[in-house]
Amino acid sequence: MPSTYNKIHRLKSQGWTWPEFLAELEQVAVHSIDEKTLYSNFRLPHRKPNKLLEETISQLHEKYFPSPFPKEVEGLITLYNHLANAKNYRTQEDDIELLKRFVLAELQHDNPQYDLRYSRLAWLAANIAFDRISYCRDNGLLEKLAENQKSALKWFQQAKQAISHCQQSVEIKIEPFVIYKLTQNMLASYLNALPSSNRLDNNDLKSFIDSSDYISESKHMLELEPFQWGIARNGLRFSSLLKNAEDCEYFYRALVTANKHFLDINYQLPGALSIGESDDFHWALDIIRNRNLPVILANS
Amino acid sequence: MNIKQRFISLLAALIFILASGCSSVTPDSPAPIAKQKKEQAQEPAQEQAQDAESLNPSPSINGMEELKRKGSDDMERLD
Repeated sequence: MPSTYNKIHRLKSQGWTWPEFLAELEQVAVHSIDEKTLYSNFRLPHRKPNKLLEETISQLHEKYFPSPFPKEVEGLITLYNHLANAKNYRTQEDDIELLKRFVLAELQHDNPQYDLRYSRLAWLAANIAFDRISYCRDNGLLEKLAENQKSALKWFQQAKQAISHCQQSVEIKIEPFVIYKLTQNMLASYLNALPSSNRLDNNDLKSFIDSSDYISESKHMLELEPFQWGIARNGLRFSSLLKNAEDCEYFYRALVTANKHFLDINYQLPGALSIGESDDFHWALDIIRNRNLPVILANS
Repeated sequence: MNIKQRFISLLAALIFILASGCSSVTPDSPAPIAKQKKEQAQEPAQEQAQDAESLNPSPSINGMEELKRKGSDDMERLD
């Protein structure tokens, strides 16, 4: 699911003024939303939204940008996310395995319909495998790592093909970001399988990026939604890993355009390293310095 | 009872309270400062034990939270 930050920006980019935005929120909110809270969540990518704002923005986002997928499968994705992120859940692994078996049984039906339901179920099967990749990598479970990576890639690809199939045969509007997310997830399946020290100039990453057209898709997405700092940050990461100076400059400019907080290379988001700290961006940082791009390097 | 007598009885009461307080402290009881120092010395040991616990591999196969705490920069999946 997109972050609350992205949802607020997407809603705002429809041309609403702040009073109009607040009036829309009033219609779906259980309690009124404070203007300052809304505005600070709009400005700050690192801001963690409170529960009320998160839920209200999600409802409003669903109203104006409804998910194309069937609600019952969306529910399964939500269920899995809660399960995967639960703390101190004694039977977590067993329960995930049970859910996975159900999903795979649905997908391997004798005559599968390549519809949006199939696509979202394949996406869920891919998510379950994807979430195991980093753990297997860090614990030296190489066979399981290869197995989960292969499975994640297979199901993300199946999800993508089913969506493409639906786009041709049914009049359903599917946003370009939906396809983009699957491409990014496939790339993430390659990246996360590698320890940080093996990512620079990696051939698997290179060949996937070349074959998937990921860089041009990222640029296209940023033209449509320039607030998407995550796309710009990942574009900068892969341009750095593949040592492409022009793309480094493009995505760095896109990143600081998306949000000026990224001018500070030590700007940190919860659960992620800053650009200054992450090995993936080292090559790009040299380009940023050598080309005298606007940047705050203090304390680096 | 004049003022002098009242003062003497108050003083006697104070001495009694002090005496009874001292008698309740056993010879083995650490003085408050010594006790505080002992507790401070125990704290790092407890913290070390907690650190050791948090460094143990998580039984969760997801492991995303663990990785982030260690400072990895993996990509998150998009739903």
